[in-house]
Amino acid sequence: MQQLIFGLANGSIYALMALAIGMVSSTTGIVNFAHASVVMMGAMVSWWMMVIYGLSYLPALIIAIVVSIVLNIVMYEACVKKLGNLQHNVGWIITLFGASIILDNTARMVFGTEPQAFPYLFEGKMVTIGDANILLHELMMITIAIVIGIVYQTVIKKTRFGRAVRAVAFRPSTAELMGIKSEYIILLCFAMAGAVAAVGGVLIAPITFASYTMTLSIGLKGFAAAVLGGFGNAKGAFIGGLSLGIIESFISIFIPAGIKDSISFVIMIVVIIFLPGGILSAKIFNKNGFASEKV
Amino acid sequence: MRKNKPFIVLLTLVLMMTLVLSGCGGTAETPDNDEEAAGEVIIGYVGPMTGPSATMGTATKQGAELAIEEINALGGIMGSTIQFVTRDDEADPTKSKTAVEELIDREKVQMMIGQPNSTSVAAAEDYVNQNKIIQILNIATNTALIDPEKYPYTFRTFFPSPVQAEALVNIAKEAGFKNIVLLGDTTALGNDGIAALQAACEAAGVTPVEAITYKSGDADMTPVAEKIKSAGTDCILAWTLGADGAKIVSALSRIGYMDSLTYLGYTGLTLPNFRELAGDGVDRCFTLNGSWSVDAASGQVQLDDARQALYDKIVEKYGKYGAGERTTTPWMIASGYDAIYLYKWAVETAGSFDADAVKEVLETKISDYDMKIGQTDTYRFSAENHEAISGKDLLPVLLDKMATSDKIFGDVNVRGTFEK
Repeated sequence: MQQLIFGLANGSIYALMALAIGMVSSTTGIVNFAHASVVMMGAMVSWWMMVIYGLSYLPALIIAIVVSIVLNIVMYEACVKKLGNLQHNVGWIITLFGASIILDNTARMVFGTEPQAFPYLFEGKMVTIGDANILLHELMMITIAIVIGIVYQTVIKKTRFGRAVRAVAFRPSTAELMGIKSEYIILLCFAMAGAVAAVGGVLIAPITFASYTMTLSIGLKGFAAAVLGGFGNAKGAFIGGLSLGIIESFISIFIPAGIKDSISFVIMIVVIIFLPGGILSAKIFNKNGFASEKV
Repeated sequence: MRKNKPFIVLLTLVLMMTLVLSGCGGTAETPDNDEEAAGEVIIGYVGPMTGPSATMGTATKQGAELAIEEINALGGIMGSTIQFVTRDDEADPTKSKTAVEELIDREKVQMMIGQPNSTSVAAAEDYVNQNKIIQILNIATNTALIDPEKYPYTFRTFFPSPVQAEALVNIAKEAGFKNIVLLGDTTALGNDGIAALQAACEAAGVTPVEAITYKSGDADMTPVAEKIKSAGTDCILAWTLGADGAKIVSALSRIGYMDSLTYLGYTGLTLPNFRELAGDGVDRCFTLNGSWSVDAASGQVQLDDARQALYDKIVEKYGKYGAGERTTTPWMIASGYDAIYLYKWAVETAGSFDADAVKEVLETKISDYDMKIGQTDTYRFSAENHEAISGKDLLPVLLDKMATSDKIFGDVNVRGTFEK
């Protein structure tokens, strides 16, 4: 039980990261390599607001969300938009890696190098279920991630905006002909990814401590989760994130720390070899013969 | 353009010469020949005064300068004024080696402190010993740096890894812990620490239940905590750094196991933030220290009179711990201070600046040295042992408010927050 909750809690953060990576990827076809740094910035800004200005959790989170949205929009304008056709110009790999390094260095200069304690939600209160001690914060991590996932999926499936996103994801030029401003939709997707990044950062910071290196290891797991579930797929992001979290949580009990990440990635490689489109591309999920949707 | 060519070549040559000459110059005062003739002893120090290790590099320099100021005010060493020459090596072994060679060849130093970084010491230690320069290591911890046969003029007044490991194992054994777990990360630091702990366990006849490793910087340490719990651990001997150690303690509290064990860690636990980040579990966390924390007379975690007096001098000269002139713990400054006084005592006892005579005094008469302001009250040098401190001299110190105050480990509340 304890391991399951740990796995689900960490997995929910991987899922949020994968979801945000998918939001950007689905409409642009690119992978935001700077996403983990935006998650970190969300956590650091929030910590700063609480320590320097004495704000409570919620206002600090809102400011962090605003800052992360602005960061993602600036990143889009500066590192992606200028490159033109992203299928032919793969310069975004370098510009986004560069943006990631700039954000990390900026955080180091502004917030310092020392990890900082970040408060748990509900002041770290625990509940005991069976022989497992579970933090209310962990339950909130799982709940918030699921709520965000459901809201995003509903917006995508049921609203005009969602249809526009799907149209842009399918073919941006055709969407333009249908009167959809692809540019605007992509920008909104970047903004949404920024907001989700800030929420993920604030939720994981009490566990990792807030520091400019806090997402070094989990950043890679976010990409892994996106690939594992099915790249650019909202449901896949959650399946990938939660499976990765649970796998890690259980295997790390039995194997030495030095090879924990290797085992996770071996599993990921095997899945990709047999299911190149991720877990959701398996036949069991596509009985009617339809490939899983892109978003 | 062609017309200006000779001028440009000449200008380039002049600039190059200027750079070369300025590169040869030191960052500190160079002894004046007249003063040297009047009787001077030149002490050298190479250490990081900029870069990530600047804290300990500057601390040694500050301590040495404080001692030299006092000694010179009272007439120097056997009538010779101390001239202190320093170079910043930025913790770079290559720069350090060049700087040490320069101090020996050009400045003619007779004694050297440091360097604080083990890799820098290793790069230049051969040259120091070939030139018969007495060298006192006050911070560097690598085991291989002390070898009386290979490096006969190098002595250490700090405790290296095996000494810390010996102390940790003996403390756990004497306290009667049964299920001891060794804990370290998967880096070279953790591997060396675990190896030292295993060797110390073997020597003490202690069989640890398990050696658990973790990946430094891992986001979540609960799997490590679960392993510790499932091993039925009652004592952890930890080779963990501040943030990682704090994450593990926090994870142990999270699974409700912290109250069932004692966490005894090497001095990495004194890094800033451990106490803040570890949460309530810190009440069961101990680290090691020598006499610069426990007053032998009262048995309390406090400074004794001699160390309190030195602490007051340090605060008077460099201020309280915090951003600005003093950014490190008082014992680190005291270690530079102590190195100078130890050398002064050895020279005066030998009645000579001759390195062999000074070396012999350190090896045979160290029990007469009664200036008790170093990490321990007793130094244990001999012809076969150039380590001042043994595992028997170290004590467990609870990481409570007193221990983490400015006097002992530096006020951790200053660094990393915006409060003063």
